[in-house]
Amino acid sequence: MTTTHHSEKTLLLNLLWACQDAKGFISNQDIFDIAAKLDVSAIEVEGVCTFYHFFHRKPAGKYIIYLNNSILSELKGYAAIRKALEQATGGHWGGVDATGQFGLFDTSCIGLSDQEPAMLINFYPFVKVTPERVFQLISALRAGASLAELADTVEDHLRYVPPGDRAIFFRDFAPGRALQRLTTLSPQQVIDEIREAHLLGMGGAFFPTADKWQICRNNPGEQHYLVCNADEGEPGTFKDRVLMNRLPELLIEGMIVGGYAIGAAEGIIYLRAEYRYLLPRLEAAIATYKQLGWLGQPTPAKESFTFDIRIQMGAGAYVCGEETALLDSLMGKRGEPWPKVFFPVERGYLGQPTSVNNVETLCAAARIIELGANKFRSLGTPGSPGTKLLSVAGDCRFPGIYEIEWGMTVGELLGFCGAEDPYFIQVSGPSGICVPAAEQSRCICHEDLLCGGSVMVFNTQRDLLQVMINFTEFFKKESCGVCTPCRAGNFILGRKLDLLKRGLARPADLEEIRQWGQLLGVASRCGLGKASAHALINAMQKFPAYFQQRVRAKGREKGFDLDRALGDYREAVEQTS
Amino acid sequence: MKKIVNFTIDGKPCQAPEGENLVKAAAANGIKIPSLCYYEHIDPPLGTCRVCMVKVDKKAFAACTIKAKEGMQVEFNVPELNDARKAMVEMMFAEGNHFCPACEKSGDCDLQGLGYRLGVTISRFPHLFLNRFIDYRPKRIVVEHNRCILCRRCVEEVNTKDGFPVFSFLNRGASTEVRVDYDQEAKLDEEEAIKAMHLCPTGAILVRGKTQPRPRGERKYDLQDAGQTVSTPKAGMAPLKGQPKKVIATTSLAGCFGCHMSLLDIDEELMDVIEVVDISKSPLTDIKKFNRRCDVGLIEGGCCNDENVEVLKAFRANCDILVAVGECAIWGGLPAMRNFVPLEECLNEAYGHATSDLEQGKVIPHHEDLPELLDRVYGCNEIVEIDYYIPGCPPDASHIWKVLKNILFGADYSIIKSEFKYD
Amino acid sequence: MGKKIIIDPVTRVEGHGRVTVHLDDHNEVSEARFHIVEFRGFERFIQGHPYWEVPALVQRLCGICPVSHHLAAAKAVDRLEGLDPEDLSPTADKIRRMLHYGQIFQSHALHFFYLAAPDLLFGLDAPVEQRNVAALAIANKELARKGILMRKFGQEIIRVIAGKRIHGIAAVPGGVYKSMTAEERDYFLDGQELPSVDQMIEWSLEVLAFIKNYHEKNAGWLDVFAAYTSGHMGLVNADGALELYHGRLRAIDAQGNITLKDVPDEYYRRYFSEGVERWTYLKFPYLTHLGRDKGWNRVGPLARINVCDYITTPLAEKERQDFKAYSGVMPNNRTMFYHWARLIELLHCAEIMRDLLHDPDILGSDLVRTGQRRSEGIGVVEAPRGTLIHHYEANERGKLTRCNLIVSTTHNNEAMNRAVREVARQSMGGHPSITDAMLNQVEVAIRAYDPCLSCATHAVGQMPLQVSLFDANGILIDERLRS
Repeated sequence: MTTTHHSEKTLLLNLLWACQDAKGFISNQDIFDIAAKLDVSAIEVEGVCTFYHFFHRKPAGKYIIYLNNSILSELKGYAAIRKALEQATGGHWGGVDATGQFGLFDTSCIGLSDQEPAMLINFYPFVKVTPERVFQLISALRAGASLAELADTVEDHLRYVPPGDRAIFFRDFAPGRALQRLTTLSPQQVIDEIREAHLLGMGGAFFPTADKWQICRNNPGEQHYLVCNADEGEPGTFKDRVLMNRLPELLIEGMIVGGYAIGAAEGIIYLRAEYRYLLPRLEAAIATYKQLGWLGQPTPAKESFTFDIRIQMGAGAYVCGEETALLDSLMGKRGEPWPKVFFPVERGYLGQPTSVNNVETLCAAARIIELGANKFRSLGTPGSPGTKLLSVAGDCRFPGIYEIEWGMTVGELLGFCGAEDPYFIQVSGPSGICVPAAEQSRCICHEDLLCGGSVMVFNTQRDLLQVMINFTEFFKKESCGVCTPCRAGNFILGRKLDLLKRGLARPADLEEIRQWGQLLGVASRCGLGKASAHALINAMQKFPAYFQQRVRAKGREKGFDLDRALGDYREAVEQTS
Repeated sequence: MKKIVNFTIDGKPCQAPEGENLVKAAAANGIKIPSLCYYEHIDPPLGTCRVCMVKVDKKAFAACTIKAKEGMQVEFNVPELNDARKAMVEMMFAEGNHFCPACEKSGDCDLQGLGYRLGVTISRFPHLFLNRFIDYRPKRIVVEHNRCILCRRCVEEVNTKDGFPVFSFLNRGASTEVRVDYDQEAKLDEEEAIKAMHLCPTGAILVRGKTQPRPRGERKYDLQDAGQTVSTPKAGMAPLKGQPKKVIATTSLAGCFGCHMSLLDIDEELMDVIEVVDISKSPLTDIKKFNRRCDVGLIEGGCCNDENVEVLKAFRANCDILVAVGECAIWGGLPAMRNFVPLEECLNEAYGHATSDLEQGKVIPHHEDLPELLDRVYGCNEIVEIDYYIPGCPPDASHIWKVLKNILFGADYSIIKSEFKYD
Repeated sequence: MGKKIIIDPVTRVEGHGRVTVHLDDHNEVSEARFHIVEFRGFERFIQGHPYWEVPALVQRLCGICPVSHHLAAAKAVDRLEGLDPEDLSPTADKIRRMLHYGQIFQSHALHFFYLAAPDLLFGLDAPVEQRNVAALAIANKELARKGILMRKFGQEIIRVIAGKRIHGIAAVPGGVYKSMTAEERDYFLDGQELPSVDQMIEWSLEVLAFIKNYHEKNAGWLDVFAAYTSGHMGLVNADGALELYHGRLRAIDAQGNITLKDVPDEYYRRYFSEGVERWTYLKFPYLTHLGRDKGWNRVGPLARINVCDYITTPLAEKERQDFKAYSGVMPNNRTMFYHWARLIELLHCAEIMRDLLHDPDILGSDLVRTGQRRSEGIGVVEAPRGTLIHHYEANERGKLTRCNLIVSTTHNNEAMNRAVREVARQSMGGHPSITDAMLNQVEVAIRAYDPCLSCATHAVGQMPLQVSLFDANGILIDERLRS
């Protein structure tokens, strides 16, 4: 971890983006030039560059096309779109076409689960894509049409808010209402109000926000920092996308509230690259608050307070949603989570006390200061007051955003979203748990079923194993690679699932999957690793019959496909006869 | 002077300066927590290998990331954690390509030493056989990626005199690898390069001309704890005159026959053994097919063609207990080095070079009387259930016979460290 | 239609082989083949590894003769580091020789006592259950014990020098890892824990007496069993004597005319080509200038005794003269005489080991020499089973870029196939039913060669390659030579 401030090096990601945007890739010369400029080893620059999915070391085309391969995309037509893209461009997946114009790549979930199949071209969004549209697009681009014009407008799909005056987020908003209260509240009082409201972190960890802000505030340091985690990467989560599109000012206001509370002079929004199209909205919101006198200058707050906000783009790494990995990325490094020797609130960005908070949490904080803790407490459940944003997608008629009071049941939610013949829902994404649709009375709240936001609905036609394989592949790709259990363990689990898929698994294999998954949970270095086998073990628990059906007991012989193993030899011989 | 704190490990009272690294603190209190990436100078500690898992106040942590504090309760020697630590070592063996027999670091290798200490005979995980390369480009160093466990010591610790790191992780996830900055590496002098070689816990960093495989005898793990047992001791084989002889069968699949030779290395004792054991189907006899049920089948060698698979399955069907003898039978062993080369390439190199002027193209041996080759070499337990594993290349003769006597006659045995090897 | 007889696997040999015998409608043998069924690909997959790992790695070609590979590879690696065999220190040279002779000693003892003896002692018609070392040990305890202890002696020499009995490490580039201590040397001389080397010489003479007696009694079948003419090849020293560690390549034809005249080992490539058949993974080496039909050579004990002018140790030389007296002026072309020749070598090795054990150089401290890197290195030794050639190329950064191995038993491929054909015809031809004894006879012929089939099937090579294509009727339709 750095203890000295080295400003140029911390902006390494931006230097790399400059090269990537300029010519579609980062060349060897770029690496050397950047290394010379920052006075570091070239291999360090290369190490950072190759960590991130969107930095290419080989030409990736004038139009870089990323088709997301999340499970929902898979179920809604990924294969057809991929084929269409290859046909339309004449290129091969994973590289550029012969003309060097089009690059075709996979990417993980891009936060458009309600509008699949979805893809990005040079980070412009394209939703509900069809093969026909693909051909149209490629022709248009060849003819020189502008991407900005061709790109889709992304709908918010706000489907549900609590009735009456029970909404917190999606209610009437005007900038400045929360800030108004800061003129009479001290930072400590702000924290006390948040504590009174019992606000929990909405990114998935559900750590009490007031505690985090308190500890951070109390920790000594030259500077304090407030970081907004806008790296919404958990597949199936798109609530922050909608918040930032619909209420960007609310987020900025929440950051100012948080910054004031912890005594920060700088706020940073770490925005995932996949949401680049939201930049204009966020920048405009920042400009608004500058104009209102709350950014970039001494503010009218009760205690002296000057605060500014900048935006740092991510570069494609799910693991950077983990707060310590995020901080490393902010500091121009590979996004590798820290071992829990100390925490960001003690030593974070540039070694200083830092609070990392989710977009939704900060928006909620602004609303709490605006509306008062009591209002917040009056909603939801005692263990989880207030409301929660859920992003629901999959086999349902109304995919989109659902602001619910904590305490809604699974059954109710399935009803509201128009779930069609549901089989199970995946709650909190691949790192969450699977809940059979039969468990209608499960309650979405702290006391029963917490949810970070992602809710994926699967109907009875869907293959549970296909879903689990997709999840395992996701973790395999997104693992930061530092610790053995996650890096190798997910790979190994993938192999086991492949056995299951091919009908070669035995009962002992099921038991091994369960044990090995548990091992990942115990031994992994960070939350990503610990959660990576969660869904699988959970699914095996909830749907034992499904898995039992997939195993073949073969006595003391193992599942070995001899014909398949002889394929290479037979092919080699055939080619020569 | 740091304040001394009291804490417990498995209930045993311990003391250490406050804030002391737990691995170090435990060692000072007589408890050796196994570790691989832990390196005293590196702070904050790496916590990458996960071999030092313990529980502190009921939650699982890597011990190297824990600092001694007053009143903490550490659990170390409990079945769940013992197994988790062993599993981590096994996972490393499965992820990389650790061919101990040909490695310069064999005998001095910390990963290997840990395997011996924890009694690892086989990795419970399937070997991934990922194609990794050997980097010859650096000036002094050769980086053998097959052996790298990605512990990060080199990334953190190896710098040039003017403070530039020489190593870095590249890529992410399962593609993560350690790579060298060639310009920086060229600045290292010989002493610094050798230091890097010793810093690496496995044989992944080599210095040209300064290392080579060493014979059994005086390597670090030959000497350390040489007399220590891997299991509890008891008396040897009970005399069994007059009882029906036990029957064993043996085969060498894709092996070199070394394990069979090791079997014969009990020398004169063989004369006693044949009084109580009958050898049925075996390369050493003329019995070519199973004509009766066997108590034990000894398998040497992995499977590289369909005949091996057939023979192995026949053994499974006709023997009560199957023992995989030697690294080849356990996971593929040295012949598994061909797993990184497409079979077609191997065949072309042998039979197909430059015969394009032949009317019918190149000829690859293929005949009804020849077995067909598998796409890669398989360990035996990928084909059938195996009951016991005896590691070694070849395994020590006394190790083989101790295990055999235990299986056949129930004799208790103790394998000592000097008999438990992978090379 | 005819029928096909299969012997599978061939037992009491090292490695995997299978014999098929095709009988036509009149029960005559129309074809008999010895199929080598293994393919491992060593030469391909060791490419890319550091060259200094090779001596440890290539031993795993074979568990009976790993030392042969270790030393051939070591000699090649020496040359890669700029050192020819004569550049090594006396201590290094002698330690390596001791190791080499020790392993030939144990290998020959293994073959004779554990693998071949049951046939010779119990007869070709002995029942299946009896034809193995265990039955031998029960029937003739004393003989078995001696055999075991002789093998043990060789194995102990290896263990002391290389750290362990099988797949040890003795050589370093330019020398050896360590020499012997006085205690270690005495262990082999004092006869206390282990029978002494003098005992080994005595027992070697005893077993030679046995085999000569056996030949007298069974001359009828031994003189004609699988007897056919061929060339022979082996290493000789500068004086034309039998040389097992480092020498020149000599080959003679069936009449004794020189076909390869004491060629330095580094030139082997100029002289050899290899043929391929569809029905076996093992190739067929032959002297290019003589062609595939006439250019193949037998290797191993019989060939070496045929090829050399004399043996440097007195007792073995006397035995060789007895052998020559019995065989006659021409080279001995009779397969079963491999056993006798092998036992002469057994004695020779024991004598050499005794001489070396009494040589103070083996206790020396000058172990390693250094030289200038070369891009290519070739090492040739006489392994127990025949001439063994290791050839490596490595770039200046240490990476092995090319590897060619011609392994002893490969040369005997054609010879074993001939033997199988001959014996099959003699024993099975015209008989309506095939007995187990007939099948065993075929194997007895193969066993005489003491084949090391695992070694042989490392199977890759960049030798000039000749490919023969036969149609369904076995008619040769095409043949190409590539270089």
